[in-house]
Amino acid sequence: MKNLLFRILPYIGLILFAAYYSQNLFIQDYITYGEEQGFINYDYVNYRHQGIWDPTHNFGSVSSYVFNRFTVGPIWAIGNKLAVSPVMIEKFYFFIIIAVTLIFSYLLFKKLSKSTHIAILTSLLYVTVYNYFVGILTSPKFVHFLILPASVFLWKQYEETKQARYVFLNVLLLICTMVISINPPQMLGAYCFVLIYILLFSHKTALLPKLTFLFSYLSIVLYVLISNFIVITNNRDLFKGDIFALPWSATDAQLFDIYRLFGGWWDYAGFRGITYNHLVDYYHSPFGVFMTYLPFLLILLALIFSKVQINMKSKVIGILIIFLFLTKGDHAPVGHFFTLIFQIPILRIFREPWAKFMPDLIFAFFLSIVLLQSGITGRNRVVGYVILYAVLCFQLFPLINGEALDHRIVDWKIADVQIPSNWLDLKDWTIQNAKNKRILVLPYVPQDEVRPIHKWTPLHYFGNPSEFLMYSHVLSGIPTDKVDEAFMPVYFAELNPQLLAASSIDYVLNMNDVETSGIKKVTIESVLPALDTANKIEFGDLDLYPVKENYLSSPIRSVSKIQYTDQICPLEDLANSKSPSNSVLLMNTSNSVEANLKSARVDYTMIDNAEYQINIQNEKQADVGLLFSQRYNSGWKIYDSTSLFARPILDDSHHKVANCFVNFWRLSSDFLAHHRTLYLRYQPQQQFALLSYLFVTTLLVNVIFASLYQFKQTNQYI
Amino acid sequence: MKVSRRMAIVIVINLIALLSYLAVRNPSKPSLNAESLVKLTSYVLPAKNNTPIITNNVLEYPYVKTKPGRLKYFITALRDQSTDKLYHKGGLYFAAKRISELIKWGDELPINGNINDIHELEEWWAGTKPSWWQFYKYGAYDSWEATLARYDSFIRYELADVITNTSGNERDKRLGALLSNFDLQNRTLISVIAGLNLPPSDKFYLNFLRIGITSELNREINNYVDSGRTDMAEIPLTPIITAQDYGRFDGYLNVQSIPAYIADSLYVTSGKQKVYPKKITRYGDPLLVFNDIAINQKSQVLELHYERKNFIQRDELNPTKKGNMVFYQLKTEPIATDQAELEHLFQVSYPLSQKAYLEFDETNVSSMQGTENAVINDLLLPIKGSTDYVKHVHANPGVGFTIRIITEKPFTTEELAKIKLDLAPLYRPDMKFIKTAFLSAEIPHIKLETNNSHSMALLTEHLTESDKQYLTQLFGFGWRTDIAGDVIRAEYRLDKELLTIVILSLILSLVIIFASNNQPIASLYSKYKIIAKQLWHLVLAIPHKFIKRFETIVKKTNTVKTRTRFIFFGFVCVVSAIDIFFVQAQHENIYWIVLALWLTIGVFFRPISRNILWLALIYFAISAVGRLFVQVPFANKAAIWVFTFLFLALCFQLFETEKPSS
Repeated sequence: MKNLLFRILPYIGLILFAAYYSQNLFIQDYITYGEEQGFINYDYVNYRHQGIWDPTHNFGSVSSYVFNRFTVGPIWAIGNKLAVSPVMIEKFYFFIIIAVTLIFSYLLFKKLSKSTHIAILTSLLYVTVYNYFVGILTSPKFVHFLILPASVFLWKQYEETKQARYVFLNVLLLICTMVISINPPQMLGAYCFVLIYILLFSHKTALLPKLTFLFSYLSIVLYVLISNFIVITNNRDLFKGDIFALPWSATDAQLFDIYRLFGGWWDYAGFRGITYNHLVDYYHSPFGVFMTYLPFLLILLALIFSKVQINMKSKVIGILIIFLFLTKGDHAPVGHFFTLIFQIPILRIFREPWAKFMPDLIFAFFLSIVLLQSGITGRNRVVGYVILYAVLCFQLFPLINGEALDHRIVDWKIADVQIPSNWLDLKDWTIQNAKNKRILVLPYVPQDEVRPIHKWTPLHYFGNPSEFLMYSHVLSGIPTDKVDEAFMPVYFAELNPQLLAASSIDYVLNMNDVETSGIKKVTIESVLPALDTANKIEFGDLDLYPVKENYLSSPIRSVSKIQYTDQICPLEDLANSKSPSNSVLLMNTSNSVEANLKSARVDYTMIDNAEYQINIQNEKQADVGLLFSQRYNSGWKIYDSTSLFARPILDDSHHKVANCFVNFWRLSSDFLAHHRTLYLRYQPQQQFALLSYLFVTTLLVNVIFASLYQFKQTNQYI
Repeated sequence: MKVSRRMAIVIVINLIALLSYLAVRNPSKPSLNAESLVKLTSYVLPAKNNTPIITNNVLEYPYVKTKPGRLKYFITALRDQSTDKLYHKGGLYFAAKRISELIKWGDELPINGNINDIHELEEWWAGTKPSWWQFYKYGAYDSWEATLARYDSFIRYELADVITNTSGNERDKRLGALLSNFDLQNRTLISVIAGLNLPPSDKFYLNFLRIGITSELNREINNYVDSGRTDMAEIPLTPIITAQDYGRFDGYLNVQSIPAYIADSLYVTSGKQKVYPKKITRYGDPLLVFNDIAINQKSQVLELHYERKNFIQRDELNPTKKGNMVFYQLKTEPIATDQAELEHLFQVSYPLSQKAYLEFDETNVSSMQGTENAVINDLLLPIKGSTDYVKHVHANPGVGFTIRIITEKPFTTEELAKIKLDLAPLYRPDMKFIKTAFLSAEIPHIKLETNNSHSMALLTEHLTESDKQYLTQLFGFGWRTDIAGDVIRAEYRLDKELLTIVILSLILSLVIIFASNNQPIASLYSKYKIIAKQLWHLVLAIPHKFIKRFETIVKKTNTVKTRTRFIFFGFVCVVSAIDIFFVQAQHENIYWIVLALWLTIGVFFRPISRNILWLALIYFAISAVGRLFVQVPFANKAAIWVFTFLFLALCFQLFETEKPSS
């Protein structure tokens, strides 16, 4: 009984620490929103990132945000099911990640050092380093710290026991942490640690178990890279030309700062010296500098005095210099070599190598301490403990003080806000009543002005309010990509009731809690005649206006009046047209004759974000113009079934850009006579789905193979 | 039937090859649609704004001591063109050095006389110029042509450096310095050539080269220099032309903060077309829209014309005599509030030979009642000949200027009329261009010329290079594309290639199966193996023996080993200490040399890794101390040595682990 208690005690301690930690990251009950929007988004990720076509933002766009659904998504989904408050869900998210990281690093370090004492010390230190390191709450960086100890631990277990359950656990872990692939270089950085660890420390193990274990990494990398390739090739306006061209790069990190293990290194890493570490003063005081150099000093001392085998020492130095090399980038002494490698196009996705490999290096540091300590005996061992305790005390101070995260930076990355109750009411209302409806958000502020700030407490909110209108399609003008950047200013500049009618808008939201005095903007006045002001719904400062019935138009509809124009984007013409919802502008310079089609009744059902079923009742037996009010993308095609392997039935020459940016097809009467029910599908989504099935199959094959291998291994000894 | 392992592998490989052939047999066809290339583009283009400030800051000709054409000069030339030196001293310095050489050895340098124009000179020099290792070609520098070509390249380097790496005031300054130095050097060259002891035909030839260089460079420099006209601004259309994004554009100008008389008089010309604006309001700002500006390949700049106003009224220019000097003084009106954001240009044209000085004072009229408050007293250079002087004026609203011309004897009325004084607003706006339509002759068009399932030829018209690139990207895996002018050819050969592999693999499999069952072939293989081994040993024998011998010597003399270890340990300490404490610049080669040296030594002398780790520890401490006292370069170098020592320690440890087996 006593024994059991002693075995459980460290885990209880670590879990309590994780709870204390996640609790202390928050000031009162405010939500902290971060760079990659993984946190404020209730069910945002789960609904919006179903596939690679996101229809909910500014007429839709193709993106790889689908990977956000992993890790973050399920926790929000469970939280929502249990009706837990957003703040609690967020705390729970932090708690889970920190606790799992702590437990895995404890297990690994204990396994390697065979000492509970050193394992607890180093795992606590490992976790406190990253909390200051990921001061900018981004999911990929958090998860990076989790993957390293967990994967290495599972590998060690698998290497020793050859039991298939560790391969299965590893596959599960990788799938759960796949949010890291939002940032592919970060993912490659994390996975390359496992690869290098296995190559260095397990080179005597047979090839087959190694391949079995690494296969899942390979399939995830392939899956992510191919799906990114699908997104890129379908997003021509974003990635025209060299997709590996660097917008900017910071490949030079200075070694003397990298040796400083804790937050202090951040400021001089990268040649411009980025100074968004709020603990600058803490780490740059003479005492701070001294303390942050201590862990590396400990490693050097251990390398000299430790009596472990020379082989082990070589491996430790090996893993240290490999990651020092990757982290420092083109800094001396072997900078030329790095520059040479950096010429390879795909490696140029590592814009800032130090940001992608620093977690690896930090983990390699603690791994080295753990691996070397078993050879240290007597007085030297005491010195080691003293150093580790001192550093831990130094590290914990900001946490006890409540400064582990900077809650004051409003304009960049993070800030604390309490979501006002009227926004929560609006959120609930839209979930109930405005599913898949399009909402125009005003006032709009052109991009060259400052973004609108919401006057929330305790700090102002700079984020994207459309995150709250979760199940609706939002037209806010906040750009998602370069197409939006070019197009949305033109759209809002011409905004009037006619244009509103042409772009299938159902509601207009007027935000009165926005600070816009002295800023140029487009206000509700420009569309007021089209709004049903009598039925206005009020949510505190927010007014939601339904659009009048005669200005409503269906997102998938037939249009009968076609105007040909030689202008590229003549929105003025559409804005001045008499029946905007029934007419369409086609860019076709070779044909300047106006043509009239017959209108037909079009019924549609939305199957999912990338699939619509359409029924056209072509009673007049004439050609029909079909307009689909989402951003033009050549991937939208017409099918006659929803099968995964179906092929489009209509030639691409019928697919045109209409009204500057939406999709239009001219369907001949012959064609309609043969096809009454059509399916409008986004073809890349089909490819992506196929890829996903293939990916799941390979992972299954991997696990099955591991089981077979285990069966063979166990049978050998019988 | 029992299937051997080898057979199984053969079958699996063949199956994989066959399956992959079946998978890629039918290529996927891309959707090629000219309309998907249509997109909204917009550009914000600034007007040229680099009226150079002519400075008196002229470089002196540096002292030169090695004559071009000597062996030693090869090193000088290499040093001069090293990027490090160029970065620190600038191209102008090295250009001046070439002129110094011509001044000193102009008479001795030979003339090749084989160049017909400036482009030929550049090509010739690019072909003749020795590389860093071709020291035997040191004679290439020994000619007038070589020196002139190098002069030309240094000036070009300076120009490129100014254009790409500087902006704003800094750029104006450096362009000014470049112009004035270039002008002076040109005049020096004229006198050098005139003073040469050569026949007139050679002098003519040299002058011809000089004119070629200067006119070409002048033309290039002028591309970046604003004309300084106060009735017109030039907007270079380079970004649109480089992107080949020709078409009809709408130009937008924000006219909120400029005087009404400028806004009302604006119109643009580009080539023959002349466009007048339309007034609109967007987001509350008054805007001018110039509709339908056609921009094609030939368009270079857009000229923006506006009404100019001279703030200097000439009839006020009255002489007063003070002592020996005559003063002509006049005052301008204060700058109006609506011109607050405009820069003004002050220009003087003085085509007289009489020496005179000019003073330019800023007077704040509004703050003091009646009394003048001189803020800046800017004494311009003494006016000589017919040079024009240009000065940018940044003034606050409500500020006027006092201008004085000071001379020894009064001007006559005719002379006075010849002096031109001019102070006018300089309007240099940014203009936004939005593409509205294609030019009627430039509509992109794609025609499918040949179209079978395995090869395609696309005839394109009026597509930009990036559009063509995009089209080639649309072809999926296995397609090979080739852009030749307006034709894009795509061919799908993957299936055929794979079929070849399938057939080859089948043949190979047959051979393997046959061979594995046939005893004689197998024994032949083992014989072959023995012969190969013997041959290999023969090749290795000589170096192997040498190394063995060396090793035995080393092993026998144990003291030599320890002594050598000690010497090299000391050597590294000294080198690294010198690098950290005495060398400012960072040379990455030092680390490489030390690494290579120690590794070669390590093979024979087996140094101990523990020692090098101690060294790493000491340098780490040095680095930490440097960091504590904010000595960044010092701490940095020590840290780099720590990395180097860690690397060395790793290598030595590998030798140490190897020891028992050897």
